[in-house]
Amino acid sequence: MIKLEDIHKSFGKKVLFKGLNLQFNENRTTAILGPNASGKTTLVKIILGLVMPDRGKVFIDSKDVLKDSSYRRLIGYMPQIPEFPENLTVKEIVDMVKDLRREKPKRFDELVEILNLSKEMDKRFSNLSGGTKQKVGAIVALSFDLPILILDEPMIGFDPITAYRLKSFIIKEKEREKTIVYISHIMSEVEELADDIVFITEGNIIFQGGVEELKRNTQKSKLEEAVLCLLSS
Amino acid sequence: MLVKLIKYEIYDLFKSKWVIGTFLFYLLLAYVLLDFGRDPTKALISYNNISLITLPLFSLLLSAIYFYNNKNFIEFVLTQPVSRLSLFLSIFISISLSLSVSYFFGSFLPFYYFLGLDFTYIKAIVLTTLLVPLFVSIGILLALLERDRLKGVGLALFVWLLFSALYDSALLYFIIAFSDYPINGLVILLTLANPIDIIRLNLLMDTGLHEIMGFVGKWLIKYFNHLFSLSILVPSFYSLIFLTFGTVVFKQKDF
Repeated sequence: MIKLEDIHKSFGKKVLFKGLNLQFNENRTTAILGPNASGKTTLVKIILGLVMPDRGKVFIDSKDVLKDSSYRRLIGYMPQIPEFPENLTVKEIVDMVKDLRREKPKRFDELVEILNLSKEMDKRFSNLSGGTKQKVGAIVALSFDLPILILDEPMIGFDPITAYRLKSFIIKEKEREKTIVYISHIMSEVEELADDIVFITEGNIIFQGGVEELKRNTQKSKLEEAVLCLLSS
Repeated sequence: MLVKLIKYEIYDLFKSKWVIGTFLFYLLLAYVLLDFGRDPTKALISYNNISLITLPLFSLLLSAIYFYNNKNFIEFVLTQPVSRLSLFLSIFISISLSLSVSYFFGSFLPFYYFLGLDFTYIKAIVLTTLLVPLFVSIGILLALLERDRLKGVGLALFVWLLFSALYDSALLYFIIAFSDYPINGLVILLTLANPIDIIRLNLLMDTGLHEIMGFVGKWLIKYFNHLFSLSILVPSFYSLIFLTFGTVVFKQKDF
């Protein structure tokens, strides 16, 4: 379980989070939704220790994690725009992460096949297309078979076939009861993947609960309409 | 963990155009000066003067640009079980080491080819190499403090200008303006406070040409037999200060 307690964060004069409390349940897939610049990525970055809260604590399995980097051993993170040293090849990048994590990428071969990356393994990262760079980000985040996955708009930039294959992979991960937190703007995808939804605007949580609960509360049959209803209210 | 990070960063840096370019630049420069100049001592002094101006510039620019270019990668490494301190030190060590190695070998090879093994030029090259960690620590710090890449590079150029020209110009102005007062001690202290000046002075003293530096050179030879230890201590001291400051900023920084 991931728990954020009394999180305060400002950027200069702009106050984003003012005493935010939030919990991501274990073995559930939670989608973080909200308009642009509402604090979704910052929220995820606070969990990962990339953004330091001004005040507040982050707990993973009841352990206060912000002071210790070792908890990140449990997390696979796929950023929006993955970047690696531009002169390293894909194979060297995977080796590097393997080395840093001191563990084997158990599902590496499976993901290379799903993402059709075998021909790109010896190419330098700087010579890859945007979509292929995204694939490298996916392989690094997912191949270590970690209990917590944090995915920031994972399907953006992929061709439809790759997006479909990756989505199927994530659904399988969900069935294996992993804790998945992900940001997305594609409502059909959220409807298909998410168990729970966290809706944020300007750093405030407007809704937190199950997908069906949201539909019920807003009396809408489609998630897209329910989210629009939340936004307009 | 630190060693692992350094291994991959160095591997990446040694393939970069900057590091290869630095090596080739100094290799050609030293070769041309030694080949065309008749006097190896003069060639060494000219080479050292050019190095003292260019190496801080390359160090500042490479470190700031490396940091900006690799910001997303740094962000990625921080999502792995790696401490911020290890990552920061690995970046500093990797850039410093790769630039130092390319400068050292780019300089050493032509001098060795023309002069064989000689302590004077080896000492000059080693001392100038000490400027690399200093200016790398400043370059990284500037990139940490300034989010905007253009402003960061602009600041790096200003710092380079400050150490290479403005500081000495201000010192000269100070000497002229207060020439009626007993400022000798203060001027020497101020000269020794600039790491570039102290390394330049060291070589001039070694080659017996310290009088080029005017009364500062004459005074120094009176009190110091050589500036070797000071030439190591002053740049190292500054490097440590900027590195410590950089570590504090890096530990708090939002990515």
